[in-house]
Amino acid sequence: MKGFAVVLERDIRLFLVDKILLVMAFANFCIDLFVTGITLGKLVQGFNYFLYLAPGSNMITATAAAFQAGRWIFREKYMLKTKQYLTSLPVSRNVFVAARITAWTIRCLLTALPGTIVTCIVYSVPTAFLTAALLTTLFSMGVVGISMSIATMAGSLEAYATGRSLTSTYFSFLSTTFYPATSLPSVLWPIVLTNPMTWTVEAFRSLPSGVSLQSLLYLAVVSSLFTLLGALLYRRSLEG
Amino acid sequence: MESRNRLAEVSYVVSRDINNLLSRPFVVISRTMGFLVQFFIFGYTVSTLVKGFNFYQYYGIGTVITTVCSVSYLIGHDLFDEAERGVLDYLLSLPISRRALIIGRALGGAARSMAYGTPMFVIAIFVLGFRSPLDIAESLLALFALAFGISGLSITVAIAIRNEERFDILLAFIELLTVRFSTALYPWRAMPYYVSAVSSFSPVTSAAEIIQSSLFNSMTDLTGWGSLLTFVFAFFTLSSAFYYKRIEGGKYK
Repeated sequence: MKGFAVVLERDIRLFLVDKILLVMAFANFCIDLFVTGITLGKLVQGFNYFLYLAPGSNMITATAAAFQAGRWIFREKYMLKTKQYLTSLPVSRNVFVAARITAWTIRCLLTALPGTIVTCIVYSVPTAFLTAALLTTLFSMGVVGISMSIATMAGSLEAYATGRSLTSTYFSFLSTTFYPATSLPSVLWPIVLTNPMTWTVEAFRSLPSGVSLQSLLYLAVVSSLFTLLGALLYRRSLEG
Repeated sequence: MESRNRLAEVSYVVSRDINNLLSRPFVVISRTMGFLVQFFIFGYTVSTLVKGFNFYQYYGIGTVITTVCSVSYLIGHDLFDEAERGVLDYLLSLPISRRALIIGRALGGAARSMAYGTPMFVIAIFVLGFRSPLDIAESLLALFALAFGISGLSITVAIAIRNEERFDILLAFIELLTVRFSTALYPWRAMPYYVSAVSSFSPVTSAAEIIQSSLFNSMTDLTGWGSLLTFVFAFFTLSSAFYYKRIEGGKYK
């Protein structure tokens, strides 16, 4: 347990060294919501597009933060060359991997927390903050798993960046982040409706009326599967 | 004779930068995918929600402008990477004048953006139905000027910042700022006042105004050209000054 806490603390401390990153991530969210959201909101007819976009903007921020995990794996492996040192620590591999995933998920949550608060405020449901934070955590955990999986499978930083870019495109444009599923051609519906981003943003949008247990369970199961995959692949990469 | 040599030197630097981008198929594939999804899925779907004007036409051209802009920013990443790996020192040791190297890098950044963006522009004008050769030529010229200026801006940031994470985030932030606070993706009339006030300073707005004016109304926007060329000149001068003065000192982290 002590080893877990030490690895976790180290990763979070490293993250907090440069607080400007947190500020920039929040600024990106604000530009997404208060520039693009408001502007497109004046053009889109029939519903409040600003409110519609808020959860998606925040989850895009969380996705970007989660993909920093894979970047770190690359940095440690090829630039900092700390892999040998990290694997020589007196902590079992399973505990080490679990601590890192937890730390990276906390980092995502910290990055997306201001956006989560803003989303709760614009939806006028400040009391639903804990549910919103839970949704952000579940989503972030899954994307951290995806990020780790891509980082361990990609042979180069470019291949990783491509994987990141394709995942972001899938999350952003083949989901209900920017538009309702019914606006898309019906052939895309199966892809859109199984996208974890769709489940997350729809759960956020249902905060005023209460998030369904089905949404939470779906997100928990999908995120756990991705996290497990990321953990297995990362653990295997530490051996080689 | 000397000017011919200088031209040859610049062309070596430019062709190296173009090859650099084209030898990275992953980058080309992912950005092309991004463009196609934005053009055919996002643009089309959002346009079904917008009433009152042809949003698809507006957004379609805007996507090309923002893609060219986004590829132009890559030159800064390349430069940072080269500085970190010591390749920049190697480049400085080549028998190429410093001036040719600087002009070549900015031109290379712009040329490869155009090599990448022109096929997308062709797809867009074909799908959206623009046919006037003069308007198309003026639009391409505006895209090139924008790419040249953004390359200069990107080079300036790459030389000024020496911490990788900060550089990545700052450049992404500047990109977001210049693109989202611009009229490339949505018109002035829909912008809140705080966006339209900033947007008039964005070089992407200038390029977008020129291209929209040319393609939609077959008119030349002289004010847009004035602003765009001022931006290009300012950042080319600034990036050159930085390249001269800062390049040989300091440590990359």
